[in-house]
Amino acid sequence: MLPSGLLLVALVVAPLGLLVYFGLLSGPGVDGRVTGEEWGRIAGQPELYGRLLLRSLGLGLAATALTIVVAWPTAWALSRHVRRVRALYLALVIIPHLTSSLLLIYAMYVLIAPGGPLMAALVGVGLAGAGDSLLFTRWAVLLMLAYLFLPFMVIALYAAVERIDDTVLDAARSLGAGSWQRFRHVVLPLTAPGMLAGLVIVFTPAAGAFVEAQILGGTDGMMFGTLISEQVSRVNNQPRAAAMSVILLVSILMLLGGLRWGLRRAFPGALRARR
Amino acid sequence: MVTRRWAYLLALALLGALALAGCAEDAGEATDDDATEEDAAVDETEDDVGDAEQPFAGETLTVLNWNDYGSDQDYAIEGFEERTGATVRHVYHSSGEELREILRTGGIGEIDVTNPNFSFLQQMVDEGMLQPLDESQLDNLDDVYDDFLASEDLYADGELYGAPWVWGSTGLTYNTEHFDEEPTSWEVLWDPEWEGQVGFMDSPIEAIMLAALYLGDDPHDPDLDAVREALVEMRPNVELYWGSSDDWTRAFTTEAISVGNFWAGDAGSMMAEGEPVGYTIPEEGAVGWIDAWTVVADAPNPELAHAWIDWMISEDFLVEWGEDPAGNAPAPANERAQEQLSDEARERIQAFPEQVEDLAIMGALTQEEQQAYTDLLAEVKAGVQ
Repeated sequence: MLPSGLLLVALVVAPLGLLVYFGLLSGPGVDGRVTGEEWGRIAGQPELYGRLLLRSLGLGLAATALTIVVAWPTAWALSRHVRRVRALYLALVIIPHLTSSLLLIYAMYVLIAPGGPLMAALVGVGLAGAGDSLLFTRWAVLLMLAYLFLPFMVIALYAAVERIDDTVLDAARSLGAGSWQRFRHVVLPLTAPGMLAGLVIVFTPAAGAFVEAQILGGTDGMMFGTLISEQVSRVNNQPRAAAMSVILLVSILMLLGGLRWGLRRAFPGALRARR
Repeated sequence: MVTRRWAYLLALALLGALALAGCAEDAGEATDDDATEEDAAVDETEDDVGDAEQPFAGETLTVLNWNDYGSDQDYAIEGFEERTGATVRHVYHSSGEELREILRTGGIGEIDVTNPNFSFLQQMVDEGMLQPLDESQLDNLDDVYDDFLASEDLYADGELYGAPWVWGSTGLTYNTEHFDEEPTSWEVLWDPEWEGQVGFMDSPIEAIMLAALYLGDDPHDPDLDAVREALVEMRPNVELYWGSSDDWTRAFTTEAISVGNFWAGDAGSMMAEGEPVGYTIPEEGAVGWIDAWTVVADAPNPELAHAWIDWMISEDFLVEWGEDPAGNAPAPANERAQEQLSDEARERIQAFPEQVEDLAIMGALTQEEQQAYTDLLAEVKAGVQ
């Protein structure tokens, strides 16, 4: 009990405390006095900081929603329809993501560049004009983030879907529930814990992402994370970067809290303590 | 049950691998010798132990530089290893900012030499990242343009910190297939005709100095409100704020961008590869830069570091690099090297000393200026009106 408690303090509580403390210093570096002036500067420019924070959170939410839409049927299929070769399929979902994420980003670049395979296909079916491209738009960033974090969501949902006992579905059927009712009132609520787990592990990094946007986003590629990174790397303003990190962290936690509350309301009883 | 356990094992493997991949990226580190080269180097050192010609046999020099920027050419490394017997290891960065970040986060004590942009040098001296050069160990300093060595920004407390290596400009670069005639003014970047086709450099100092030149203002002390207005006005034309030569080249060759500000050496290199690239210093002038080699504070091998710098600024190396069509060389700061270049190489690397007059050389910025410049460009990029 005691050693694990100490670990928590050393690895979680202390770094977070330092982050909050650094945010209160006056820059550059972390040798300044406690003044809180960077918080004032951030608050004084809502049109920059607020705008980018909303953009990052919105993009993170959209990417998470996209992964749920794709990952839920994938997880269901893995669990119910390909039982004999399930390990192979799971491996196939994961293997492309064992490489550096930078490689995946550049692969996406090639795919969506003007004249690239995806754009050529879209032009072919008449959905895009010859000179159009997703590249350097916010859609490219959304697509990339969803692709990048998809396996996390698949695995989170797969674990939840796999846990659903077939006898529960039989019981619902014997009580006269149609297929939609079984999905809506039995299956979906039972995967709510998986969705919540997926939300946490997908939304958190997606909202903080900036490399993907930098490379694929063009003039829409400026994120809250970009701003944090620039404050450290360009001017060594670590206090402002720390303060912004606290803001991002708290915003993400509040949003996750809201989503958890929403899931509980949507699926009463589904998120109680289990076992 | 078995399958479920498999799923969790896979999930764990995935998380672990992603975490590792993340670390590897962050470090941005690579040695350029492949296994065989390394073996060869080791053999060589064993043979030559005690050889007076190779005073640094067995030592390893760690160089922090851009990827594919001269110092990691085979002839750069082999030439140095032959002369000294030492082994060269490279650590890469992808921006001047990242260079300093690597030094701040553990690079000091590990890295021997690096070549920061002129404009970062003073701040790096202030932060204790560099040590003064011992000019007696740098014979080739005599061949460096006096004009460059006269620059105050290379010195702190009367001591020399940087040995000028190469110089260049960030000029107006355009796709010759999209332009009927060579543009002569930066105005083209603001021209609605090129909406969504401009690649503009994501660097606060370059962006602000360029806008000041365009406005006819003093690039070293511009009116920031006017500059902000000009950059906001340019934004609809910008397709990409590029951060590296790769960014630019990839966007240019896929025709996502047609025109913008780009580095002379890289533009010349694209010309040599047959890309439809034009490069010009417009009538308003252009932002110029000098890269200088420095020895990092607490360098593990300070004497070897000086030997490296003397090799880098030498006529021998700079001519070989300049003549290498695939070398991406900028113009050499060594006067004798410049004289020896072939006409073809001089055109390709834009080694025209007379251009220096039209350049606004990036100098040191104070912390306050850097903060103001960074915040200004961030606002522009974020789309704040």
